[in-house]
Amino acid sequence: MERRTFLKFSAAAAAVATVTGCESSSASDPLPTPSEPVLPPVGEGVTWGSCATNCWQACPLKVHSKDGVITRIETEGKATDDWDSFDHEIRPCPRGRSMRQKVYNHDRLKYPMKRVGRRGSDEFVRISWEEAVSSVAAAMQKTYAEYGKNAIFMPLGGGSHDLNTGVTQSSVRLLNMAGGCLFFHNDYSASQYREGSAGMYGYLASNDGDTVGFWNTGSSLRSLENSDLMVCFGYNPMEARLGGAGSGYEYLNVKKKNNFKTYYIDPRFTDTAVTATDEWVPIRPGTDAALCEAIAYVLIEDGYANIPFLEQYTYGYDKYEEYITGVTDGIARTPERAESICGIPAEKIREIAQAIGTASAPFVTQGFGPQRQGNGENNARAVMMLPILVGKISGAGTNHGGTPGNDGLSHYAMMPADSLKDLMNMKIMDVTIPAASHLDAIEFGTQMKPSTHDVRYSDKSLMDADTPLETNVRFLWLASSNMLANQNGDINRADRLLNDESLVDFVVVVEQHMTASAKYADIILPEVSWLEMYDVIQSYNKMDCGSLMYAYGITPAIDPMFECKPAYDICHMIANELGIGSKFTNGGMTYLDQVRKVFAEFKKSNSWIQGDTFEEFVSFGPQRRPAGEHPNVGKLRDFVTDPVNNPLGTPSGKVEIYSQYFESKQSQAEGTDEINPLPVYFACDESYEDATASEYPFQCINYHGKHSAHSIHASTPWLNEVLEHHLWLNPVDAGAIGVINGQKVIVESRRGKLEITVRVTPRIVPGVVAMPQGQWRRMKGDIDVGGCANTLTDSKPSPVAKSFRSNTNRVRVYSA
Amino acid sequence: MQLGFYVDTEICSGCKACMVSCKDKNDLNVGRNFRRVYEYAGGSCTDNGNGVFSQSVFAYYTSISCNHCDIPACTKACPTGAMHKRPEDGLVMVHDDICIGCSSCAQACPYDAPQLDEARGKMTKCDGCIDRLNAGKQPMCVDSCIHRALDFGPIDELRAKYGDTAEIAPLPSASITKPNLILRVHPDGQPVGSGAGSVVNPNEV
Repeated sequence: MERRTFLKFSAAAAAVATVTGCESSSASDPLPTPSEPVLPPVGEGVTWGSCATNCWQACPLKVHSKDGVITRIETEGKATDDWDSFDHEIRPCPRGRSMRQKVYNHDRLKYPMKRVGRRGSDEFVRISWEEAVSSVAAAMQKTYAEYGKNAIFMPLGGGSHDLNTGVTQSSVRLLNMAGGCLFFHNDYSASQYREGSAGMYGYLASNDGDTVGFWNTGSSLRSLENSDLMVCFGYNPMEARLGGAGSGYEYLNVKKKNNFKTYYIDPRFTDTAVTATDEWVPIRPGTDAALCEAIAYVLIEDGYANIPFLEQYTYGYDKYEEYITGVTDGIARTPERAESICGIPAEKIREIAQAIGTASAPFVTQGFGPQRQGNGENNARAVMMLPILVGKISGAGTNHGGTPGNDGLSHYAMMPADSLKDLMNMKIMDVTIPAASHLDAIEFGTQMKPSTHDVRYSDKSLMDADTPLETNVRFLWLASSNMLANQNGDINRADRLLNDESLVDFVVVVEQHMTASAKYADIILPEVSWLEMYDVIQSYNKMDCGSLMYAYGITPAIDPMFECKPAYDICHMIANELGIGSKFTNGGMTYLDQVRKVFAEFKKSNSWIQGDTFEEFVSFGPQRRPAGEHPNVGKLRDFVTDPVNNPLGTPSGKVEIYSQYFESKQSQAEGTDEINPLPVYFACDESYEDATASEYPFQCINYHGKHSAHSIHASTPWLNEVLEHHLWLNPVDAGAIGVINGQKVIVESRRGKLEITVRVTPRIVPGVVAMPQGQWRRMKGDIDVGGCANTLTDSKPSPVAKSFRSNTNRVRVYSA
Repeated sequence: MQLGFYVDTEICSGCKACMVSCKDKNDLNVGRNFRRVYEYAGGSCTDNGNGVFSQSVFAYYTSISCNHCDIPACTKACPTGAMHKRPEDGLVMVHDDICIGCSSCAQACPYDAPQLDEARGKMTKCDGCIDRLNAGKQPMCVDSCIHRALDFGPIDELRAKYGDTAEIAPLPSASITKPNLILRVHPDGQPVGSGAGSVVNPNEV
């Protein structure tokens, strides 16, 4: 006990010792008065940990350890497990179940390191913490002095997604206090959906200071208890969000309870469709809007369009009807015209349209696959058009055509005033670029403007003047992020840019594992794993994660491994070097003090939570309650009840079928991109109809598989064994190119080549190949043998959201 | 008393939480899996030649461990008597001290239950999580199933609750070893010996 206590206390003091050793002109941080720490158990013990992965489920892990070593993960056992009464267990999926192996994985980062080879070469030498933090601080100061704050960029990262006091929060706090940085808006995952839905509905209920209100989610899956039809476009919770109290389990239960008909529209016959016994309607990637046009044609022709509703609640329906019926350009968007584009027989299109037209409570929904395309904004809007056409966007059993949602719990960031609202007023929020644009910002940042690249300034005069960025990005800070050389488009381009030392001065990586992106670091700062942390964890706010709100506290199961430190302590050390240590720690608060403060804030707005102190809260384990409906649903209901007094956030205050927001963005279209104010289909680069891509006969999509939420679990051996990384290929195509199940193939796009095991399966449409995203890039010559999907994808942004078109790729496939 | 497993193939989504929680609990290296999830798929999805698709595809998952059979093939094949069936609960177990690691049991078992621990040269397998049973808990796989598709207990009670089906493709005929296994058959479930589909994930099992 004495040794452990000493270690705990000395961790806080170590940061200070480093300052006194190399004291700069700044006042050194006073020694924090350490609060009594919550120590890992001695002998046999049980602690609560979290799988804080970026799937939104934030599953609790009951961690058993013995003599300071984790021995196994148990199921929580804190509920009756009765779904009907909202008291079901939050059961982790294989990712959470494999957490012990992730903690002890061979690729854990153990010591601070500095790069000695080419960026990406994985050649590092161990250095001291003192050298590491002083190098980072010096590089920050140099960048601020030479180029200003907007040369520093912190890409989006998912590695501490569900934490409140993790590496993302600590890094944002440090960068904001140190002088700010260029930040991002939107994200990689669903920006086309966000922008598309905002064009149509405006931003619905955005809770005070809750940036996630912008997701525009809709009705809960439980409301399917009142539906008589479901039409799903690429919505796949049993693979993407399978664990916890998650939406996969939610959908399964509601489907078994009320056996409504589901048309499941997807290029893949997914595990969701298999398990819920939905009718699979195979479709070509990127053609959802073409299908929706044809469904709309039937709804209009057969008199199912709810004209009184459309006249009262929508803007621009007349233009849409003219387009669909062929008045505009002489081309009627009939099922017969659409079938050879989307692959769905005309009679099936008519059947789906009739089903929507005659349903009393249709639930039309979409995942994020259809919008992750070069025409994704329009796919998202086209799907939303279907319930709008029949006037069923609000009311029991219906949905507004977007992704499902629930009410939820907000995150509490460690901001100076401890609320996310402050994030909006921070230095790092005054200039933002789209999340997927940082390679452009490295290469030609000073050419990026609001009118062309969706650069956003909080200062309206800079917007009005169409001001370009003042500098290229030259310094990258990765906080548990693989968004530098793995999870962003066109990784070969990323590799070229990051190795151009005239462009990139410095890369800092705070991480747990030697990821593909970590190999590009100049300095690596090793962070403790999720099972070595304290935090307040709660179900993700207002997203599609089932109908439970839940929260629990986590404490370390084991002491920090090797020389790893909590991110807060790492950032504190750097803050000390910069002379702002005391400011960073709010006058000497420890990591655990911050966690306790977050809990106090959390408790203030969640009186149902048991426990008056963080320690008491931890001892209760996971606490849960029914989540209720998302505020968006109430907002839409108010609008339908009284549209005059409850306008939407669109320019007209109505549902904009003809989007004035999209109209205002038309100057941003480039090349073959289209920005059409109407939610209609167009063929973009490398889509099915792009004849210039004929040397690359297959469309290639990547999906969020069961193995990894993004790329977080990519190196866990158990997961790689039981959820093999593989490429889905239809038997007809396999026969044509002469490959068999289980062999290695090369997949090649205009941007790169990867090697992957092929799985010959009828569960994918012919002409399309699919692979899970998230494996880590590993080059052998010019071939990525790791099988990272982004070796193939393009970094060209989508037309409106300027986001990631990861499902728009043309490839060829041949034997390795 | 005879213990056994119930597996609901209708609601199993092939997530593999059962496999991973079993590996975690039993410290199983890569290559050794006491529980395996078979993906069986068939039918076709084709282009009619005019860009329009037709499909007749089916797929389902079957999670299988040891079925602690009434007539175990493994015990019969074992040359030393290490592989044995316990009279008190019908669980099939390995006497570690007399097992010679010859793998005869693994070759004989039609369910692939015995898994060789190559490092020690000993056969290992599902023991029903006997330590958990003794502590009044369910086996780890049952407790970890995210869709609640697994159950375990006295086979008579399970059969009263779930019926007595023990066959689905790609499993062998239940007549061979009389497994203490009950299945709920997926609506697309194929009969034993069906050629309508195939196991498409051989590397995962």
